[in-house]
Amino acid sequence: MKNIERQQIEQILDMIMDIIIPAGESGEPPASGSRATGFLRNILETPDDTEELGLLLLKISGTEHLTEKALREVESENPPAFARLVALVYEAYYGDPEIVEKLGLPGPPQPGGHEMKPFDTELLKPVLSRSGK
Amino acid sequence: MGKPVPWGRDHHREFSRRIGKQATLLILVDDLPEQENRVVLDSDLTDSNGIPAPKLIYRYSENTKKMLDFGVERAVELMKAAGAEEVLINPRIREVFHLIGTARMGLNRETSVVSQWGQSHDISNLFIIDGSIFVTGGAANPTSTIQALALRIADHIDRNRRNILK
Repeated sequence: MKNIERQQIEQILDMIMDIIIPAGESGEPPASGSRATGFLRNILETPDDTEELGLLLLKISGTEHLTEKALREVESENPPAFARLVALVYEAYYGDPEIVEKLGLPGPPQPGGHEMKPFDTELLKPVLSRSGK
Repeated sequence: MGKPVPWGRDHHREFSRRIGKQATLLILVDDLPEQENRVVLDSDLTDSNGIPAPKLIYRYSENTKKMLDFGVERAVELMKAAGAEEVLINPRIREVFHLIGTARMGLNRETSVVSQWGQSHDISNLFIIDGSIFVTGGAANPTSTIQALALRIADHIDRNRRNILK
């Protein structure tokens, strides 16, 4: 990523993310408003991930008009690398609790855990007796 | 699962169509104890003390492939019978293993390594208490069963220690 400045990276990432996940007709937020930008930037700063994705971003940043059609052309040239980029955007977008709430999706059970229905606690007696409780 | 939600202008529409309306079936099978599948010492990779790292050598046998294909076919039948509009099939996942067996428990010392209490048929004060004493693969993750076996065998050793550890 040496050839792209940080600010430029974020601008490109925002544009790419909004093409991959644009705002929806039912009020779904676009990806650029989520935590995805920071998430992807961190990924790109991880040495193992820099080269492949960095080259892909360099390729995309050289595109004159960044449109869905242009991205699909980039995708056709290197489907595995582009699929990885898409997976990262999805992970970042749907991993953002604010996005999950705005989409009306059920959140993760952590940290409270799943609600347990009452059960026969006698079943635990042998286990508890081993620990002296 | 088998086909990612498309990116682009149709993303939200397709996501809404799928979310909460999917069911996943995973096919698990029990490999035969094939000699080619084994754990050996790595000839190159070592830890910080120079001790060779374990190396897992595994390949799908024809028997395993046939079992997996059979399972996928039945799963598709099941999904369609349940009214599925679309059935997506993922490629085989290589990274999911439970290493069990090879020191199976049993009453017959000719066909098993340890007794029903994990006690070696050949060395009376040797107990094996881990996944290696499984006779077949379980239907799910083996940790709970291994823990239950450990508690059961530990209780047995405790109750019979005067006779076992002569």
